[in-house]
Amino acid sequence: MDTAPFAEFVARRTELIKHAEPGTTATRALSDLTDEAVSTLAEAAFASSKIRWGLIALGAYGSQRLLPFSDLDLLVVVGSDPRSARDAVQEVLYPLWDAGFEVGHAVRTRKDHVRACAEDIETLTATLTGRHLAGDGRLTGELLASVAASARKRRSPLLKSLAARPRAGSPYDLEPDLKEGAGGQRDIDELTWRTSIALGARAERPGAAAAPEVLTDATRDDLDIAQDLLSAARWHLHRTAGRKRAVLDIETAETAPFGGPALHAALATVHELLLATRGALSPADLLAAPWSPEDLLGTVDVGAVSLPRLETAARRGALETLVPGIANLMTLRRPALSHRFTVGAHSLLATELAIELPSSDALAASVALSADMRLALVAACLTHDAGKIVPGAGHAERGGTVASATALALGGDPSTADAAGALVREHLLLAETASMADIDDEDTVLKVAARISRRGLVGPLYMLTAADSLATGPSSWDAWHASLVRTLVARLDAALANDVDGAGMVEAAEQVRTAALGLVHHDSAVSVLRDAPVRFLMARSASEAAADAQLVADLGPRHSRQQAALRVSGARTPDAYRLAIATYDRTGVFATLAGVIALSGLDILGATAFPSTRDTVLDTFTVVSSTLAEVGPETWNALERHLSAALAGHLDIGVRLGERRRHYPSRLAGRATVETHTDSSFATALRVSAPDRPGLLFDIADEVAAAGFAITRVIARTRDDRAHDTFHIVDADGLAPGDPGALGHLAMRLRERLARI
Amino acid sequence: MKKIEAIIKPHRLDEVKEALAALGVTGMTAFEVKGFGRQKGHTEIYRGSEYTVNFVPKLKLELIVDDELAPKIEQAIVDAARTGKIGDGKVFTYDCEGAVRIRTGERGADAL
Repeated sequence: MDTAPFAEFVARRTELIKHAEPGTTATRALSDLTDEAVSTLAEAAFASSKIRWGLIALGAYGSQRLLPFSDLDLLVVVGSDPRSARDAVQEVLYPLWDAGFEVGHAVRTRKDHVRACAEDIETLTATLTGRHLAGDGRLTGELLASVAASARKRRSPLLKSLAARPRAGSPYDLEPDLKEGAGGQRDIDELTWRTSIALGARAERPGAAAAPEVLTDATRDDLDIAQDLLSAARWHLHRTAGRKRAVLDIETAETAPFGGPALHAALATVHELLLATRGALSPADLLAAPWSPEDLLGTVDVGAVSLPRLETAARRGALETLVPGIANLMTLRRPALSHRFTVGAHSLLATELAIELPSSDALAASVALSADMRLALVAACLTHDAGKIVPGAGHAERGGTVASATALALGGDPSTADAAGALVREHLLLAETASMADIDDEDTVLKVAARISRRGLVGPLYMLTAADSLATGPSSWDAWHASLVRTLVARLDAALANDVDGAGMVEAAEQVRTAALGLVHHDSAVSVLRDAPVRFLMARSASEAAADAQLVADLGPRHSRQQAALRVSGARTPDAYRLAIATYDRTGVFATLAGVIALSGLDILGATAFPSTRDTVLDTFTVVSSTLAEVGPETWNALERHLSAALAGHLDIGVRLGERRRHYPSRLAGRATVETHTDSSFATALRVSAPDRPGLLFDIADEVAAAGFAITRVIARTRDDRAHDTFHIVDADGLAPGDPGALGHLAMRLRERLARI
Repeated sequence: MKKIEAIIKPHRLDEVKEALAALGVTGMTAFEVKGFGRQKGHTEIYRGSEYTVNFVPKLKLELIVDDELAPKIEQAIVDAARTGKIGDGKVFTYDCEGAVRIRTGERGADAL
């Protein structure tokens, strides 16, 4: 056999693949060129054969859509025993194999092939786009007509089988499968097969016969444009990879001329027309008639099964009056670390996932959503990434405006619109805080609570966060991330409860911090103020905060002689003084300070205690004279002496207080009450109410220390000769103790000790 | 060579990374893990519904380093990951018998 013509074909083919403009024209040109070579090979191979034969191109080759690395699917039809054609068929195939083609082939009689088509739907669909290449045209024509006619007779089960064909992914995948994926080549093929089955004859392209109301002249023009773009993108993929490749990865999509919004529009067009042809969408769904708020909210309520309708409406502009800009977002690519879909498709999926979340998420199920808040949540889900229309950081802030507009368009009132805007502005807050900040730090929780500011927003924000993460990708919302976010949500909810008012606390504290920073001049005091926790600032005026910060800053190094610093100022209560003491944290330090004050002839009317981040404590006491003696410089000198001795371990406060009580016995009667409250994640509250007496605070704090607990905060007040003290305590691990046995034992010991005198 | 494994609180990752970068560590592997030690998980209450976090989310870091550098790295992780509260995590150090950089075939410390 003369191999020169085939060698010339291979050379021309290489040139064509290298230089052709990718698209339908190129795939057809490659197909035509291949036809010449294969036909020539076949004519030569069968020249000396006496059998009746014909050659048919099947599948993509039959449709004249050959890509650089497409398989060549061939059917040799023979009029007699296929074995008689063996040598001739090998003469056709060997040059193709030698040239590197992947060839799928079968040699059958017409009857055998019709039977094969009845038994295997892939053989059938490949034949429905079959095309005569060489040999006996009557033989091939009769076969193709028989197969199509037979398919028409079985159209009902065949169309059902085609409708069950697996279609991976979405036309909005950032890495779409251009062949088998939703909206890909197979979907166009199915439309062609359906047309052929409806006609009972070969169809070259999708036609009205498959679905007259769907495949109109206009939509078929859209399909032609989509086909051209798909062929171009796939040609580019084959050419750059040097092999068969169907998935357009993100890197290629971002750099190739075919990977942008137009490609997603093409995939979506095919996807929508196929669904409408199958009956999964109605022809009316393909129109861009504006939806009403009821249409949108009703469709969203149906759940994820309504996603194709929503996507179609959004892309075709039917939602523009309700969700401004969503049509452009549907094909907008903003690839990030784990995003899977275009911005609009991601937002619609997040909306449906948020609606369905309570069925699979216990925390979401316990969120009580009012109708208004539900509307705000839907508006927020639909628009949470709308700000991505502008590239760069800050999309959450930008999206807030769109969310508010959407909530209003959906029928929400201004407060609902505000809520939707706030949800979008803060939609990254929970996930970022949970994984990047210390959620075991109360200040972290309080500051996030202040940003959210309304308790009613915490639940919806959780649902938006979870749905957004789930829609982003499985790795964004696994048990690891969900656990962190749920813990934060529970703490935020508690921080925004009416009796805590975390948002108000933070606002007040920040005002004090700002004012106090204006009053201090030394860097060390500035640093103390900047690190000061919310509750520390809450309990002080700006001038007190500034002075106390300076006191902490003035402490000498740990273990130096300057282990404590104190400052005395006037208090609001007549004849009372405010005493601030800074010292290093140590076991039982509050008991020590309270005991020293009692030993110095002072009654404690009120006290606050705060640890700082610098391993120091700053406790303040409101004190009055416990005797008729006046308080003066000698009192403070005595206090300083007792303090130094106690901190150096040279003073047995318990013994000395016992002596003092013998000299000044308390005449107040009444029983002490002790309660523990374990509703905070950060510390357990120990509430003690008892008749006042010298050293009462010392007794309580000493008993707390003896039980192995540390005091993180104290609020002590004396009213009508009765002390009402709240100690916030943690265990040795810094956790809020919750063991009823240990807490009950502490309460019992306290009642016993307070009943002794 | 030593293999160092550290279990740390998630929010301390950046601090640990910066501390290790300052010591010249150029690579590590991070895993999102869940577990418990003495902390034993915790219980949270949301609107009256109680749920228990039995396994607490942590990050596990793995890195292979030169023998001489190992103690410094161990200490740097401890310093950077410490918050002073329970659940700060642990650092484990093991002997490492070999390493190969797949791209170049370099072995031992050269592969690090």
